[in-house]
Amino acid sequence: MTQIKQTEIAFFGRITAGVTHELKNVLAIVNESSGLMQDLMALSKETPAYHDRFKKALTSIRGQVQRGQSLIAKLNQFAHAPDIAVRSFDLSEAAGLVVALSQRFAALKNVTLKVVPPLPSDQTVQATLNLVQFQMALFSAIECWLSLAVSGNELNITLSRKEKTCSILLACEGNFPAGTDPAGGLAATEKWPLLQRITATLEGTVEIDRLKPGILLILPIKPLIGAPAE
Amino acid sequence: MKAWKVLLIDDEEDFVMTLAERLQIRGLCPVTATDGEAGLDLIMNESFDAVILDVMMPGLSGLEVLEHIKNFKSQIPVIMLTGHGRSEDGPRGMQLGAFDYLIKPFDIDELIQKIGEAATRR
Repeated sequence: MTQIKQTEIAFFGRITAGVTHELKNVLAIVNESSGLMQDLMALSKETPAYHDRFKKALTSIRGQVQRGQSLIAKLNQFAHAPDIAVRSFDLSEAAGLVVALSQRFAALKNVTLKVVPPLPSDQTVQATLNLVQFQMALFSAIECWLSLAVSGNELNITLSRKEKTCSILLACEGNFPAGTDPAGGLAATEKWPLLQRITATLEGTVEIDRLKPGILLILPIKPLIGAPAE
Repeated sequence: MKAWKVLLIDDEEDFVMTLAERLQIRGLCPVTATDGEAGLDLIMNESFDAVILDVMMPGLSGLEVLEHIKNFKSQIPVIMLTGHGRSEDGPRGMQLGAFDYLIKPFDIDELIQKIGEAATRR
């Protein structure tokens, strides 16, 4: 990635991270204000009109605050990705973040998207890569699948490690319209050339697994930054 | 519960006033300040059982205010409020002597529990 591109991405990240902090303050005020309304209702000696409806609405507000809090935390984490161009990170955690932030796109197509099975903490896959490029590669692969997937499909992402590489398989399960060839269609999707380019930049490969059917990303696991070269 | 006297320092006025009202309903005695300088003035002139301090504020930051408190009124426990769980601000505050930290938005019962712990461990 060129220096100017890196600077541009860092700029977007910095602004986004700053705004997420402000949004946290917004949520904190909504949280306290709705909490105060609940407190005042509890203190009221008489049952006010629409008491149950108010209670239900306040419960909904608090639930949405928690939802917003979770999304903002993830967005903030995402916004900090360009802080350091190449870094050592946990692939499973990074994949989980991309999947979490892609849920809206999957939901629009009524497709279930998940990382399966979540790797146990003692089996984490650490890699030293450009985190933004890794996120872009994974998101592009998800987009390839989402452009072909139909309602009810399940897009499952599996990570595994083999010595100096890691494999990320995006397999789509469920029924496809009769006569279609999902594996064959992947290479014709709009995002496929982009996925190939980013994977090459990461010094990895991308191929189509016709049996699953799935997209298989193979990326190098370089030595951790600061760790002695193997 | 004892009527702990707590100082809330946060530049978000709506937040700090609403939180103060909720703490008052629960029997605490909150005092508010909307910037670090005003908060430090109160700390130098009054006694508090605990200080609730936002990390990110214009002017003196929460961490700078914390350093002043630790230099001049080190016995007052400080609970930091941070925006993000992954932020370094909370742990940094702990290194500088904060009693604990909470991530916004938080549950008021959790805050009150921490205030009680902080005030009784002075």
